[in-house]
Amino acid sequence: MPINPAKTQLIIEHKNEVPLMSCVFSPNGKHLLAGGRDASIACIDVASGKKIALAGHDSWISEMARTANDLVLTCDYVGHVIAWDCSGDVPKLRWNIEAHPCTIRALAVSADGKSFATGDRDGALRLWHCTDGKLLRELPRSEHPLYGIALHPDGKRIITADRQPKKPTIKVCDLTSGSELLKIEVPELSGYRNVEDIEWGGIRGLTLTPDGALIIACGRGGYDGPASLLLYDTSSGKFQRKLASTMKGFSYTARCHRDGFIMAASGEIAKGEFRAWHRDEDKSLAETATNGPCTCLDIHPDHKRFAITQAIGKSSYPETGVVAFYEWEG
Amino acid sequence: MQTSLTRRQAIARLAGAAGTAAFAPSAIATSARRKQLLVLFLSGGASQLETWDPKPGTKFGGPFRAINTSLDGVRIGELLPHTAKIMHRLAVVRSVNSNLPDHEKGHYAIQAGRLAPGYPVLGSAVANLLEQPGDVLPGYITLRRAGPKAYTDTGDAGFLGAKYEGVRVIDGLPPENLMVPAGINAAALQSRDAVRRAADQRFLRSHAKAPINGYSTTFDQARALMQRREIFDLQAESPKDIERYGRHDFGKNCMLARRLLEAGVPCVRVVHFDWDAHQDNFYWHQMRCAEFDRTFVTLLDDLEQRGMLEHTLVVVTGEMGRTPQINNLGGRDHWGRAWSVAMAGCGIKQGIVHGATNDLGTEVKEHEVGIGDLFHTYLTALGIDSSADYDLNGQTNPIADPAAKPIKAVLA
Repeated sequence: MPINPAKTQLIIEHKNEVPLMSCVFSPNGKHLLAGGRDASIACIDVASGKKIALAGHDSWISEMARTANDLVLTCDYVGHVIAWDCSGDVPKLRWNIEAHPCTIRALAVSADGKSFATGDRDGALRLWHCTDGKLLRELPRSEHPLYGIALHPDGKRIITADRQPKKPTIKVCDLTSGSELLKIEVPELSGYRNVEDIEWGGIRGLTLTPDGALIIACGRGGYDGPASLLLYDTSSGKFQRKLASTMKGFSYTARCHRDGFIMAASGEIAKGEFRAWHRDEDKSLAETATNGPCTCLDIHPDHKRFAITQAIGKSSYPETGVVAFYEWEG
Repeated sequence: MQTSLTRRQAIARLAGAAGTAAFAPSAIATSARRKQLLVLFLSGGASQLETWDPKPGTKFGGPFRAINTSLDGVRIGELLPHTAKIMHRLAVVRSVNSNLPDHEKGHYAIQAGRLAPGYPVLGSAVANLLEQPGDVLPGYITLRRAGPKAYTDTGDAGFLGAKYEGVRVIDGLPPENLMVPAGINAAALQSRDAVRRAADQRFLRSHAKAPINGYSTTFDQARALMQRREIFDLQAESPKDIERYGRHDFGKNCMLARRLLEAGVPCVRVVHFDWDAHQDNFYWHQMRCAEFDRTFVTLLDDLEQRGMLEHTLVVVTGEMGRTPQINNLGGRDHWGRAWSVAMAGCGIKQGIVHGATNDLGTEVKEHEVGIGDLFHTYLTALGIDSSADYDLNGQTNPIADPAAKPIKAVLA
């Protein structure tokens, strides 16, 4: 029986000492790893609720992703990537590489779990082996910071999203040669302001639908616009749909449920939400407000549960974080 | 109002001019050596925690690490790796408390050394105080890009009048109308100028002198710039040097600043924009620091190699610092209670870190320094008696806030 995204129930909340910005379930679903504004990773045993800290990074955690085979990858603000072997009772550090000389804001794993891609602040784009963290190849560099990567399930294409001022851009490239196949400019997600000459917006997250047919770009509809997702056809680059929240702010993460709906985590100063849409409808199916900005969301491999991370504070300065587990009723 | 030299000023200027030696000219002919000031203004307010005063691993420390520097026991933010290698040549004050978390007020106050309005900012003051007979080029030139204009042009000459207002060079282009328009020959130009001078003389008989002299100076400075427009031609520099400075606005402006100083301009200010990171502070500081770091070191190296650093004071400041607290959008907001300023060159002790903030960087805990103290320090480093007065037609006004004093610990 398909999940009804409107019927969610909070299972448990775990407080964290610092604001949390990213999370991912392990491939076997036994653990949730969450990270944010410190170097440690909060690892929660999903069944028991026991929480431990994983040490290995020496800077804030920026992105996380799971592979198809036991590993969770985590990366940080100073360019390191760590692979955590999550096959046992407690995740163990398998390898730790200095992948980039600066902040990694984009991370994606291939569908077969054999390789992963990283993109950094300077636009460098690299492809790596999952098993040992060895560099597979360097792909053509973007002229702008990379804030999102997706590896297409066909194994032949890589999709990147940058933070180019005024026109954040998605590129679909050949994974082998790096040659550009398609370029999609996304000015709707620009938050550029002349007064500071700064791009405050940009594409903050990038996801593909499981069939690879659609690109989902996360961000904000203008400088002070609503949290938004923009959907594009992966093959033609044609704009498909805008999924906008009623809340001003950024959408940071989008995840696709196997039953066809899209979940997004979004936040603004001292508030947030997670919201679900059907990919073919503008109107959202369900939304739930959160106490603080909802910074990330991940769906459990069983597709019956999901988790969100938040940054919590009384004013605009969050000092703690929360991981919240939800399940869909029925 | 018209300024004239007080006795102490005259002595200070003589002191400033003393010891001048033959200066090896570069491609640009230089005027006699004198004390000069270069201000690198990090507009919007750089984060002290990502630059001069890192607190890694603490609650508000942010994601970046501290790195060792060429100065034993001193660490700065990892976003300044080139600067870290020349820390032994700098003086860093980590204990500035301006208590002005506001762009416009901060811009004025940090440059005027006072809160009270109407005083000349540092560049205008130095243009006046280091003025020498026969000076023809503007005494104070600001280099910045066209936009944004916010915050950066406040104040300026104050009661010193139009003569000491900064000349703005926008986007590295020479001031407008520097070239004689086509169709105006030398004779016509001379004739027009004679008419202007005659008009000035007639006005001087019945009007206040200061504004008319100010206008007259503007014409003279414009003419001098017309004759020296090669200063603005960065193509005269080698591609290698252009690359060393960086092809961004800040790099080009720093190269132009060096050329203007070589040409004898007493004070040049370069504005580096976009430090006002209310969102994504760490992203923006990576970008800003990457531009600043290499260019700053290149500029200092060049000034030193050309023998200019010994008579040029270099000041790196913004109008404030940034909050230790990190907001919801990953930004740091305005903060004036505990931040940092750096100096190098003329009159400054090398390899000094003065003052300290507490463990979280929220407050100054040692050797607090105010805006007036910094102003006194800059002038003293330039050989100017900062306790002297301006003499404005017999009415005196202290050059620097009498309630503040130079920071002896950083002065050579």
